[in-house]
Amino acid sequence: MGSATGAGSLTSDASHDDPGQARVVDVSPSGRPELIELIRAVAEGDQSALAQVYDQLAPRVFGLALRIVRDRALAEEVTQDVFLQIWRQASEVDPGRGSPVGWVMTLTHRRSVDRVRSEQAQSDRLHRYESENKTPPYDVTAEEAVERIEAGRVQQALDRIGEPHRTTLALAYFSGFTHREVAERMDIPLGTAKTRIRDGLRKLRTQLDGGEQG
Amino acid sequence: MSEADMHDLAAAYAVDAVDPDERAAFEAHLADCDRCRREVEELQDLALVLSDGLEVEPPAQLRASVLDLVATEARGPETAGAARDAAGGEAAATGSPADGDATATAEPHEDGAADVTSLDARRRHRAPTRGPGRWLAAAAAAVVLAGGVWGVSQALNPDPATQVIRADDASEHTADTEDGPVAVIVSAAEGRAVVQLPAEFASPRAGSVYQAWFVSADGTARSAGVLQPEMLEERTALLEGSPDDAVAVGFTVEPTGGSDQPTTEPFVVVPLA
Repeated sequence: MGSATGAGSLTSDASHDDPGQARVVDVSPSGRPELIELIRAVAEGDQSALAQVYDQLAPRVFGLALRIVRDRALAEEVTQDVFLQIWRQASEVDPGRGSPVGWVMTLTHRRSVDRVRSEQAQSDRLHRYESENKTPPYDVTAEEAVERIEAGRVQQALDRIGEPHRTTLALAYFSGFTHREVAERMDIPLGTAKTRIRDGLRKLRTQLDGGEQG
Repeated sequence: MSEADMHDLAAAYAVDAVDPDERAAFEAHLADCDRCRREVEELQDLALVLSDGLEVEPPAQLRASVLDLVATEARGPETAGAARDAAGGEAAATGSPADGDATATAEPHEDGAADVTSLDARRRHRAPTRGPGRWLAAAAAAVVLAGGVWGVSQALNPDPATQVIRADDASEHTADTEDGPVAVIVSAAEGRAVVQLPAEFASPRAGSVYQAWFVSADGTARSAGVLQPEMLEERTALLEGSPDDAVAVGFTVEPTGGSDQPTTEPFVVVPLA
């Protein structure tokens, strides 16, 4: 399945002047120019470079992980996993694709989602007796899921894309639901869920481009 | 899945809103589809804004722990690879590592993801260091299997009872008591079993304890340990020893300190089949 390809989608030949490529990385707090140099050094086995990458990106990695897994200990595990993965796979980052922050956050998102799903599967066994008659912790309504992710810039970003994309994207991105589960929870056809995820993401570009329609 | 359906999955894939099968199928498709690869990259870039503003400072010790792990890995992948492989083989053969928290049991996913060849090769040489480090090493071993690995967290939690409950092969068996169902969760991969007690489980009378027994097909019983007061409090206990060939787990009332063999009739027997 090529997990390296999937998670590290930077290793492609995507054209840089493709207007479809939003250069989000350049405006992120982690978009300092030296990051790519650091990653290159990490690829060569430079541990102090990894420490610097950690210092630049750990709060963002930990913050996203925490938002998704909603548990500090799990978020720490995800963060640790992500930096180990950076250590091992730094050489796979394509320097031609700009800052590696996108790669790192993609790794972070995937690890977090995998973790929250496996936790959910296990929580059934773990909490069988306590929650027999209660709503399982992850079986949240769309609204609850969205409330959990209200926070600053993210909230603004989501708010601006408007419904129904806001809820769809929040469920998919922050709650770790598959498109199938999103469709079920929102009571919409599968195809609609997929379309809304895509359109919701594209609407995010509106903000990046200063309001112009993407 | 049709070609068009595949293209359709790009957005869901970009935000990991796919199940493991879809992920694998789509990644296979990605290898041949420039259009989807570009779309995934574009959408993942756009999704970046969703983590911008969520920054939270991680605990300070996490940095040291990450760097320690990296240093360990950088230092010498060859040191104890043989020992680790031996341990893994034993666990696979018997399903009962002598040490219930052996990390080797977290490995079955490796073979399923052997396409990450170089990393896989490195993992095989990871040292099974003693102490907390080996949990972290196991976590590290799991993380590189980025695609659709769901058994990962079991390698991370140092609580062996939780390990069993979370094991991919965990099976749950129950029997009713007056106080509610008693569950025994068995993982052959972990070589251990855990008992979960109902919420209102009565405590044993003073001077007596509850003792668990692995019961073999021939009716013989091996002690699986005394349920200590804190276990009753937590309602979860890791049983001592391996379930091995046990066909049931029985519970008896025994004098304080427990017995070598059951001295009373079991008040509940949980069949494991």
